[in-house]
Amino acid sequence: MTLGSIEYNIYGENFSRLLSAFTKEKLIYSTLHETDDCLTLTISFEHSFQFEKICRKEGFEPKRIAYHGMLKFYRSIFKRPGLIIGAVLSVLLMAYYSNVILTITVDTDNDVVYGKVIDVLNSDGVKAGAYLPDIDLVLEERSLKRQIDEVAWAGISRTGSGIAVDIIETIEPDRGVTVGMPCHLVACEDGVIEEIELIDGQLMKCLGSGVTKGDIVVSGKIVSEESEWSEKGEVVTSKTRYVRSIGKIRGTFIRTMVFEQPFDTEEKVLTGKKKKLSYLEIFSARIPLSAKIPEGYFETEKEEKHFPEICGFMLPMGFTEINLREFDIRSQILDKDEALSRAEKSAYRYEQNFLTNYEIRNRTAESDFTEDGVRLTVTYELYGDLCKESDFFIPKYIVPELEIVQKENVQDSENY
Amino acid sequence: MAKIPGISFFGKTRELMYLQSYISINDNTSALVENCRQIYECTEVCVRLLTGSFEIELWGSGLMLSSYAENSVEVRGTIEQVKLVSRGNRRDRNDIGKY
Repeated sequence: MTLGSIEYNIYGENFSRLLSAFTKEKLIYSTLHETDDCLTLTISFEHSFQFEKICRKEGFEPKRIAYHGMLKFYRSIFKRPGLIIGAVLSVLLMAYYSNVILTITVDTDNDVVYGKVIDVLNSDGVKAGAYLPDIDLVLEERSLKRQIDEVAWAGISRTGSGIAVDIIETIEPDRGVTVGMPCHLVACEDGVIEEIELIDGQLMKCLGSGVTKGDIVVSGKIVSEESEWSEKGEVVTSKTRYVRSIGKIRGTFIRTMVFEQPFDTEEKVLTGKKKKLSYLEIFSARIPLSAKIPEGYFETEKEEKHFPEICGFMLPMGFTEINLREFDIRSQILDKDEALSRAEKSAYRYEQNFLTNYEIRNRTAESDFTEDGVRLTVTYELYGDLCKESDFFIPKYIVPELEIVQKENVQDSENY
Repeated sequence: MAKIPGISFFGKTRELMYLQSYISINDNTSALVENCRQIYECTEVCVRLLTGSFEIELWGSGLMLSSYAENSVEVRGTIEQVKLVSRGNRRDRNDIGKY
């Protein structure tokens, strides 16, 4: 009775003929008993069709009164189509989600590398919702190693309905310790030296002298000569030391910048239209809840809403809303004053971004209007650092001598 | 009452061919009758079965009959009496009633 059993009632007067037929047909039944004019018995579902056939042949009409076992369960399920639909949907979803990517985890703390890995994976079609059997993980590992410089090794493995990307980041080799290495201080602007703070090195220019870009102001090669008189005459002993030039050389220099502003410009104008896109996020998958994505230019603002935590466990589901503000790029013709004002704004931004380390002693601006736009030439008289460090290589033919010098230099650098 | 022979050729043959009826009774709760040929009656108080040589009457309360295998029936319920009526006697009795 694998499928359960059915309890029947048969109404009639004399059942001996029917019972003989049961025996003759070797029917299997249970709990058979007569009460008044009713014969009650239970038949397994498999034999119920044969039983009903026998009854009708003998002139009786069996009536089903109860179901037992699995049959009762099956009937109760059939009365609830929601359960069947839910079960079928669950099976289909399980089959589907076991073969698509739901989560992508990247084993890195570096946000930049994480973003690059996700970008490469997305460009190769490896994203939430992608069909896993179609993805060659080995090729994807190679793609990651080839396209991202920061990734020295990548390994991708399947974790249930997701993939885990293990990464070993590239460790940049040390560029070498330059603290103790010899260097010059070289002028990086054309100007006049006004202040010198020298700790080590050979000063090549005097205070108040002018320098051009590239001049060695403080040399790291110190040559000292000692002269001694002997019977043979004057003996000059030359000794060369290589040091790291340390110091501040400040001075005044002129810098000229040109800022251009065309009259014909493009301007971003908000149209006032606002739209909202909603997404349901399940693990790493982002499912759009709107059928159509509007076309046009939009400023975006992202808003994420996660489901509340349950006992400290963050549910991997949430809603993301992207607020869109439409804008239009329109052509605009500026008048002279407006164009000049914009050019001056550009100059101001330049000063704020690039001249904060200098003292602006003088500033002259000349505007020149052409057919296409305005040309603002600003001349700055700046006071600040004139020189920058410039490493130099020691010629190979003095290397034996250098060994001694290097030791001296190490001692020197330690002193500083 | 019919005379039962001490050695019966047909009786021995039936015994060897397992054509006799076998009745197994467990306490007063169930009785298994093998080689049952026909079911005459099955009410809550009386079950009448026909085997090769006897008509078996089981009396009691809440009796129910089940047939799980070929020519075998099981009677469940509270069995109070088991009566074996020889088929020959039954015919004689029926004849008495008839005439």
